[in-house]
Amino acid sequence: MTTTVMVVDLDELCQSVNLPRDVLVEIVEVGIVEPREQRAGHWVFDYQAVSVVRRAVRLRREFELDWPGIALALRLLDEVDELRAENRYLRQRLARLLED
Amino acid sequence: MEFKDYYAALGVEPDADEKAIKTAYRKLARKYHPDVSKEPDAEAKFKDVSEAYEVLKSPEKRAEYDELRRYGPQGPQFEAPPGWQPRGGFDGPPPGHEQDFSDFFEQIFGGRAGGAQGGFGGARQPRQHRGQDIEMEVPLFLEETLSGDSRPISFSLPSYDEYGRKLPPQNKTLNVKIPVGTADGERIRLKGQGAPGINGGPAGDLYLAIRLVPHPVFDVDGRDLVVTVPVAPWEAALGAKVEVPTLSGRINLGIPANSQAGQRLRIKGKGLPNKGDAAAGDLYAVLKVVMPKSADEATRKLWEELAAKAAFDPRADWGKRA
Repeated sequence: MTTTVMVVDLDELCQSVNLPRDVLVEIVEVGIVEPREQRAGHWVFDYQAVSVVRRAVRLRREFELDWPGIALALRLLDEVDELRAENRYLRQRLARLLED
Repeated sequence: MEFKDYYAALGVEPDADEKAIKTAYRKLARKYHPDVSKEPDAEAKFKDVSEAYEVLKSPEKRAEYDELRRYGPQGPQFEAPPGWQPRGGFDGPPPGHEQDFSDFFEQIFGGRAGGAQGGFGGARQPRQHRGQDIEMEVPLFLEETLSGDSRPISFSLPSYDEYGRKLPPQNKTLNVKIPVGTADGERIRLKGQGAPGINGGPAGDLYLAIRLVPHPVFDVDGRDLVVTVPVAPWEAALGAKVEVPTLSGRINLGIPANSQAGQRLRIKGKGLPNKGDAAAGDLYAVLKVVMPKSADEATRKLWEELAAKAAFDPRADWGKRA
């Protein structure tokens, strides 16, 4: 039986995304990911952070953005996703109320 | 093997300069990058585009590729010329890491599999690599997020030999526990279930990205659910008890007299469960007043009677505003 692990620490995150520690610290400082807690002085992240950082790394490589630019792009992309989801939901609601 | 036209992939002429190639790549990357694009097939298209750019941006690789092009992509099938020896060093990431290029690319530029780390006469020890993390989408029915049960998840893992050369993918099935309250867009991490490590390196992780499948009856609003309840005009007028579906069976819902179309009735705790101790969401029943499609003579008479006796002007507001 497999178990789900809910959090990763900074070292695990570095290993998962193949980045040195100081780069990850920079990524945290610009707010791309936030540690969910500081356990005994070291950062612990929600494991969703791995996907976020990986996405950030791809954006950096593919678009040659700097980290603050990536932080902005990610926030706007998230917003677009939220708006898309909301739009989908509202359209669905409208269809249910208007159509037979 | 298909001969890849990298110039066509980027939409540039074969004599395009580096700047034009870069500009074309940038433009296509913005359009098809899977992280920013909602285009259909974005991932496959981006792969073609970035493979083309990987070759054309490097003067060395481009020269090799141009030579092969001259040698002739005559047929749809391509074989590297006998004795073909790629010259430039492959400085890309080790195989299985981030980039996954076509067989065509592998044959032309990937002969030095494993990059600088191995394969050159075996003089050096092949290096250990952590296996690739794998991310895959898992569609879930709303019902599957209620119970915390397990379900089988099948996926295929890339596999490599000790020199980092590609082997056919391995199929695997795992029984995965879906935590109660798993939400759309969440990821479930399965440690060590990703691609196996290379040369005894640790295995990568498997990430399951959860997508909730649209339900035929319920719409999802955060943790709340919405169900549209069709009612007859007289049910809305007089009140009624109607059976309403929930995710955990039907319940009787009392509709108060003089209800309006679009009115929301809250059914507490019948939404989606939350994680941990947090309370579950609610189910909202939204009333939709539906007219009969046709009326027989007797019914028509009754409507006429109602029209004559009921003092109701639904457009009374217009008199004041317009």
